[in-house]
Amino acid sequence: MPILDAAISGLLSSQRSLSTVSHNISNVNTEGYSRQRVDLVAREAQFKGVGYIGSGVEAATVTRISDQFLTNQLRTSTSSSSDIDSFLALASRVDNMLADSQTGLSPSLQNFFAAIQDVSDLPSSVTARQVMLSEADSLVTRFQFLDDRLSNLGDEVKIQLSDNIDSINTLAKSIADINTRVVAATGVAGGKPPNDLLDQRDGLILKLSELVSVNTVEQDDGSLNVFIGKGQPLVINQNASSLGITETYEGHYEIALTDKFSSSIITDSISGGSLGGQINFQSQMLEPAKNALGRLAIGLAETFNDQHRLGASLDGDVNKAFFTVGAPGVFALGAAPNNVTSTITDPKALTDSDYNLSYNGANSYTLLRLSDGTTTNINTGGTSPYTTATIDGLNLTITAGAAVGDQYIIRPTINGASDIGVLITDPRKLAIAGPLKGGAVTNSSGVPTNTGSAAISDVNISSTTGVPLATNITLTFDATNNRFDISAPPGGTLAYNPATDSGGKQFTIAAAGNATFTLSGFPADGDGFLIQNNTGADGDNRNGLLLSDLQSNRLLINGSATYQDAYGQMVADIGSTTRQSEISSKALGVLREQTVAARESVSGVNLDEEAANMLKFQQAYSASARMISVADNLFQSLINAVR
Amino acid sequence: MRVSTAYFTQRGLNSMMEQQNRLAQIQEQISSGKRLGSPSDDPTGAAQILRLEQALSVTDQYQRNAENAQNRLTLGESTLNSVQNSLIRIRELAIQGTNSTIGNTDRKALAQEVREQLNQLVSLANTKDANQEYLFSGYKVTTKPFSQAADGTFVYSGDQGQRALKISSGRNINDSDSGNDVFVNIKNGNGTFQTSANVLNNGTGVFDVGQVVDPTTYVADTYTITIGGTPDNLTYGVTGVASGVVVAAGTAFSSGGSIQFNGIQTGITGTPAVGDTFTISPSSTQDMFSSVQKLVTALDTSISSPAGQADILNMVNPALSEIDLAFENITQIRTSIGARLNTIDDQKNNNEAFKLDMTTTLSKVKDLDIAQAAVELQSRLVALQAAQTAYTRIQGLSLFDHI
Repeated sequence: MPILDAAISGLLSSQRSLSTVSHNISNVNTEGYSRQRVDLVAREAQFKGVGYIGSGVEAATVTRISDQFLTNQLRTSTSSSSDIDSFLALASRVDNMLADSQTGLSPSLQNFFAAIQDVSDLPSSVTARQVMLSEADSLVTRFQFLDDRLSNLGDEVKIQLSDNIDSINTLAKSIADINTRVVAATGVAGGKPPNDLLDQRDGLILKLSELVSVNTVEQDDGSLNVFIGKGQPLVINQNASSLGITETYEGHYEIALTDKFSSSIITDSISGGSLGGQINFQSQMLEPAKNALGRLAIGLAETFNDQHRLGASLDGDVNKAFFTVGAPGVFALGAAPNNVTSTITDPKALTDSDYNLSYNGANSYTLLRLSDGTTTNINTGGTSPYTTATIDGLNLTITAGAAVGDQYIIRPTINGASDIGVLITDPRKLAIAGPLKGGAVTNSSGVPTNTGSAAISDVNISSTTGVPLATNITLTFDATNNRFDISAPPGGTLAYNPATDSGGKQFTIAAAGNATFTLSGFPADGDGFLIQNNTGADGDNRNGLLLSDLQSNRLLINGSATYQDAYGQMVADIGSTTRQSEISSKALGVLREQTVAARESVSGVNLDEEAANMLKFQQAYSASARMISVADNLFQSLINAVR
Repeated sequence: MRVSTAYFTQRGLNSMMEQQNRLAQIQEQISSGKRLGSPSDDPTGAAQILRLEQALSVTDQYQRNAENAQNRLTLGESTLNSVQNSLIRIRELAIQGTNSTIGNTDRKALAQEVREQLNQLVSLANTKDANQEYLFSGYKVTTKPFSQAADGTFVYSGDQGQRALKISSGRNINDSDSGNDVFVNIKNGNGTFQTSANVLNNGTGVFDVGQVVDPTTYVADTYTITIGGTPDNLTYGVTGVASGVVVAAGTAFSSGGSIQFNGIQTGITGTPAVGDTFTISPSSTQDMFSSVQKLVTALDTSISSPAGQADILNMVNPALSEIDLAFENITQIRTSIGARLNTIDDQKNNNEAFKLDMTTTLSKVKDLDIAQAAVELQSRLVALQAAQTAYTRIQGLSLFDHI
């Protein structure tokens, strides 16, 4: 009876459709769920002479409404957005650390130099000197504090990296597992899709894409191969590889991929996801910030030391350093021997980049600046130890022993901020005075004996050669020859013609620390000037003034920046990188939202739609049921007719 | 476009979160009063703030330095004022002492007072500032600059250094003057040469301290004027150690008349005796105290004849000339101190103006415009309320309610 058959098929397919509506309604809030639909097809008609008579409907299959393109796009935008979000979360920490001008380096720097000026105002005061030492201590502590905070962030990045790697490994195993079940389920169902398993797998891959960027390739048997980063295989058919983390050198972490056969470092191939963000943060913000801070610390310590050496303490000491300076870090990678050392020769020329040194064999090394890829070739010519010329403010000293392919990482400024310290503990030892002074020759009562009107200026030095003087230097004017005779040592003469030079003529005596002074006026024959050690000059502040001038001199970054500028530049760099990532984060967040909206508009459940569908299938069900009663009436009519 | 029910809720929620986030930002700005929360809010501004704050802190320091310099200079200036008062008093006493009517006892009393003024001068020269640094010892601020040796001579133990303080980025100012410049480095005599009369002279000739009338023909040398002729017809001649005879012996002498040679002009008043000699020699450097000491010695001398009176005058006159030079020297230094104090005042004003300028700029970069923030707060509150209202209205609609 075709009527009954058709009606029953209608009842059954309406039931299927209603239960799918029910499934959809139940999963309205399930994350990653794709709404499902029963595909109805008319049954094959039967030929009845007059033509083909339809024989009802059948539910062909249950499909999930999903768009592969949108699914992929969602993964991509999720990766990019969580990449920048995790970078931003870490960058904001650095940004906030420098946020308050009171907690950064600036106040310590200013107080330190203010204290130097206070000492210059009153060089004889041990109290003022003590204050300057305390300010120096707090400046050094501030450097170390900031460096510590950055190092702690580095440790935190390491923890986050390993947490993420654990999650990736777990997800990879689950995906491989679902691959197995999908292959089995598809087989059992004769090729019909296991919709909810597929949703579950898509959900896992979406989670994975939050951690690292993902590419997938679907196989004929229904399993999905998953590649991360720039094509590193994570899941192949039903097998998962695993990621690990290794510390290649102090504080620097790399990601390794291990499959059944081998293990390799893939850090450079990782991109996207929070893993990508964390790796970027390590290489693009954390290490440069630490280096920039270290470079500032080294620059400050070295340039301050240079000037401090040219001054004299209350006890007459000269050529003493004020700060300790952090040495460059050289890390031999793998099996490379520790045959390379490095020293800083020109703090002005230091960059905030790290360097890779590799041995090519035949005495040839290549030094690669990691920030921009500039290479320098070094050939030791077989000399061991061999010291290079200054490269970016550094010298390398290489002894023999490297094997071809040995690699070294050189981090010139890594220890700058952590190892800076104050060498001087006794306030009397601050070199505030000039080591030499000039004056007219006097008699035993301190009364000048010159009869002419000539005068000598202050005597300033620019090196410590021959300082303090072993014997006083007397300049005696010889009117016949128009010159000053320099007493020995060092001896020599200074041409001075009062007729033309009375306005002032500058002289330098190299053997006495490049002592520079100006003679002026009209000396009489035999008039003398004395250059001597500046003993007992508790009130002299000449070197103090020069030290305080350092604050406003452009001494760093190839003479382009003051200390404050260098710090300001670092703050601005970090600020603008953070700002850029904030903007990108917003933009990518919006993009992700849009993709979610697009995916939801295709795959998401709409309750109003389901309500309408429910009514539709309910009515269809009622109509089919009515057809059964019509068929029954027809049958009864026939029975009654023959009775 | 289809909208899924779950996403509908999510979107309503997202928009409320976004509004709340903005509200939190503005609240943070208003409560801190700062426009910038962290450098990323305005990287250039953040670097600018650091620069401006440094400029302000440095300028504050310059102001402190200027105060210090001012204090020392003011103390120096008032000390030198006392020194000059003392010199004026000494001058008065010396002139009283040369009065021919004054007796030995009274003169000795004057000598005593000059001696006290001398002690006063030395103690002024050894003035310490509020920080216990000697004002006039050059760089050796902890060394007492002036003392008297056992033989009565004055010894300067300071040096010739002069400390400078920084009162602006390009301006250093000397905050004191060395004792050498103030008290020691003074030419004796009249500044070019000094005159003396032989103590063995028998006449009453008083030698004028003289002057250089023609610097181009002046020849520095030691000259001796020898009186010759007869008591009724005195003559003189002048011989230089290096120059030889410059005025032939036998030139007619007149009391108070001018004696000129080699650019020098001098004269002898009173009546010298035949054979008396007078000497002119180039000036050397001598400290102020020694000049005063000369006066004390002169006034302390007991005399019993007109020749003795002339001796006193011959000692007092050059010493007075020296005291005038010392007075003049201190006037110059006081002028220089005055100029420096003016410079400091000017610079302090400049620094204040600069600070005001910097503070204004800093405030523009750093501080929040409260009015603008309040308006923004209001508009964000409205936006949040709107989002909430929209959410509750729309969320209430469902087809299931009508089945």
